Amino acid sequence: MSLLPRTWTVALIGNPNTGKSTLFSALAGIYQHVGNYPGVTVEKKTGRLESDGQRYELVDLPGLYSLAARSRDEMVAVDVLVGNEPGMAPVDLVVCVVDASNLQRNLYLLSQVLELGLPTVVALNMLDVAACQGIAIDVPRLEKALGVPVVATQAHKRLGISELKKALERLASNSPAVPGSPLPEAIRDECRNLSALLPAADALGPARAAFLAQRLLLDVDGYLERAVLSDSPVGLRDALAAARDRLGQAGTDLRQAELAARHEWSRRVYTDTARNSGPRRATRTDKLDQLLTHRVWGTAILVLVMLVVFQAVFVWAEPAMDLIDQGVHWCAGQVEARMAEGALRSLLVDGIIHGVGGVFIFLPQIAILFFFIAILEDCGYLARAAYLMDKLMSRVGLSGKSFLPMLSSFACAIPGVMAARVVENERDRLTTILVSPLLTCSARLPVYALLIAAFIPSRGYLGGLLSLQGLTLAGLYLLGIVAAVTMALLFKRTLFRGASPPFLLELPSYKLPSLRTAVYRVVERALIFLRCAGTLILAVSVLVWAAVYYPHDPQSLAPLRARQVVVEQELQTVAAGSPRQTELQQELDHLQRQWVEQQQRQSILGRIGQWIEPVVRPLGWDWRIGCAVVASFPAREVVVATLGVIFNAGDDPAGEGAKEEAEARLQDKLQQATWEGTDRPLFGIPVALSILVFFALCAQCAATLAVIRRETNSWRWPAFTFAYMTGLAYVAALVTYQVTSWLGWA
Amino acid sequence: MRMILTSRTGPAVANTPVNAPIPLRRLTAGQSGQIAHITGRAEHVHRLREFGLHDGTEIEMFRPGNPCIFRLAGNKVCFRADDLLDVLVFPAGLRC
Ligand SMILES: Nc1nc2c(ncn2[C@@H]2O[C@H](COP(=O)(O)OP(=O)(O)OP(=O)(O)O)[C@@H](O)[C@H]2O)c(=O)[nH]1
Repeated sequence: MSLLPRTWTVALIGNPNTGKSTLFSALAGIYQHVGNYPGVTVEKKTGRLESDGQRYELVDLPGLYSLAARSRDEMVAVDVLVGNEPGMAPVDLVVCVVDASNLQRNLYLLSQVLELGLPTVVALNMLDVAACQGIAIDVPRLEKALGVPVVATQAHKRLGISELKKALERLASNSPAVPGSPLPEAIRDECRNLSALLPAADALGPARAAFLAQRLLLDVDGYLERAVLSDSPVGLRDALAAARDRLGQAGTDLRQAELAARHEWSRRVYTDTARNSGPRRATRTDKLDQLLTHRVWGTAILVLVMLVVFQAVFVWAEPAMDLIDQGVHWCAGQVEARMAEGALRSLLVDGIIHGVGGVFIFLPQIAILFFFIAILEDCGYLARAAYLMDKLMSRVGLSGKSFLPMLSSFACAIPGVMAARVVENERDRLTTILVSPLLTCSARLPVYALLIAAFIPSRGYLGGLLSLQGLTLAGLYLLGIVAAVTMALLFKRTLFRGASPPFLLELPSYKLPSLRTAVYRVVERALIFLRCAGTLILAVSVLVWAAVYYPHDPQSLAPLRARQVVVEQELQTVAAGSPRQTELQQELDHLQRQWVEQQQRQSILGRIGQWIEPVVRPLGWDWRIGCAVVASFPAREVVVATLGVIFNAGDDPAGEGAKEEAEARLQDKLQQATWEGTDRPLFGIPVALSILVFFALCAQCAATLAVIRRETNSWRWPAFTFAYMTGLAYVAALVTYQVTSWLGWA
Repeated sequence: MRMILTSRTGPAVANTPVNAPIPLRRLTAGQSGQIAHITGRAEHVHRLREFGLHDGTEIEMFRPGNPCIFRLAGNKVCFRADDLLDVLVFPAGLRC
């Protein structure tokens, strides 16, 4: 052995919801890394553990019921186990996490895992839940029946963790023999023959090759078969067909044979080692479920819970968001005070500080929402919510699991897209991700508020019970929902067609949620968001900044500057409060605006705006509105500020009530705006509605696109999302404008 | 498409009247049954079996309907049948 201690690669595998991730966190602590496997949407979680001089690299595999992979996503676990995953060392040791309250069913996967022949330890988790259900498991007996070490754990309380570490050390030091396979002899023989023909047989070594050959033989129409046969020697294909033929002639149905052999083995081990004490008593979980899954009461409680969550998201996030806003302004102010005016200062202030601030501002909402999702998931309620909402969601072609991600999107699409991870089916997950950004997130509210207050008459109906402005807002929410539902149906019929896999969902026992787990998840998600959105947002902000700033031609602005200097000088000499001073002040303001306008017109953005004017004209927009929409690509709420700049609403005043004042001023300005060179008002109800509809449906949010890219692990889906949403928004805005103009709404 | 249609008759367990199999969701709350067979596309049927729904497995209905919630060895599972996929069970007599 070399002097350097070697690093053992340890894979954690288990059924969904067995506490695998909790166990992983207990072992790895903060030494975790979350990424993606190349080419798939599966999250890759690795961590480090050092114990008693041994070093381990831990890999948390996705929860599975079986190693029979039907898709590339499911294949990841097999690839990691046999060491086929690029960039990962082959697995040396396996921890199979088993739910004691579901022991017999969990043994199925364990039996497949044991075929690998790798040193394996079983973490028998959730013993407390099993005890609650009156199930007693004889651990030493189980150890004997399985032929591998078993460690009793309660991951959420960190019980049994040090024993598990010791078991790992023992496995590492004297790789024990692994028990034989329960499969029929005939099948095992065929596997041995096939394994020699595998293209990578030598690199894999005999044990892994045999395992891979077994999966290849047994998983009829599986992913492995498609993958291996597409680029392998003809010999293998023929050998596989011949082997299946021989087995078929002997009366073996391969799928059935594996099921039967492993089921029988599991049953035997279970009856040998577990005792069910008497008839089942109703547990606390049962009593709670009587209420919480009730069609009427359960639904009412779900609505209530969601209302509380949303209320909390908005109420708690507000002060934090204000604080971040102030912080950003403070930073900008500091830079402005310390640096001379110029390109660099403008880049720092308008590009970087405001751009990155625009991302940070979402963080409180995202964190709070994730906190609640984590709590709801940890206590076991999430699965019940999925059950209650499944009927509704299945009408859209999705399942109840898509409910929470879509609901979250009403606060912010980013946690919504990230929470879509709970949807195992890839087609459903992608559909959920693609339509979530259509739902009305809180960032649309400033845009709605501004335009509705400025252009929708404040008319009341039914004695003030309903207001036209309120109805417009409700209509925009409805528009988002209708669009999301329609697109979901459409996607499920076109892009993601195909029979959905069975909807099966385990409802875990209720338990008190752990604050530690929740905080952990929040930090993990927040970091992912900052990392992936932060870099992209920064790049996009700088681009947009450059488009506004360049070409910076002081020459053409020189006459304005000169006049400005003269006015400023005179202003110093006149008496305060005199009419002349007011006059000068007004001229100065005017010059300032002219200066901005001139710069705008010649900037890249201004040119883009003028260039796309023919495209946006049918929506009732002029080039300035076009500019504002283009500039708000990084984040849609930026359009409010951009409109302010474009329509000369002046700088933000500071102090009490400043926000309201600035808003009112901007509304005035917008109402007064005219088509350039005419007296015709630019905005009317049709134009305002067309902008509102556009913003309801467009994908003007770089952070969401960045998160979609992270979750789908490809640029294809964010690009598609942007394209389809922008197309949809354009068409809807066009129809809105044309129809309302035709109706003569003014 | 290949259908797995097992033509087994129900296992003869004492006190279990062997009726014709009915769709799982039609069990009443609290009624138990034994899985008779699963109909549907072979790969989906296989998935359900790997999940632990073998022929002969005892289950007990908690919330009938579609989706339904049933008990499988002490734990609760939510399942939705569709046009293609369904779990058929031999119902046991109503438990009081
Ligand atoms: N009662 C009890 N709960 C546990 C135990 N171990 C973990 N849990 C809880 O079980 C739930 C599921 O745990 P996870 O770690 O998310 O399960 P997982 O296996 O990673 O699930 P997937 O991510 O679906 O693979 C969490 O709420 C844990 O707090 C245990 O020993 N007893």
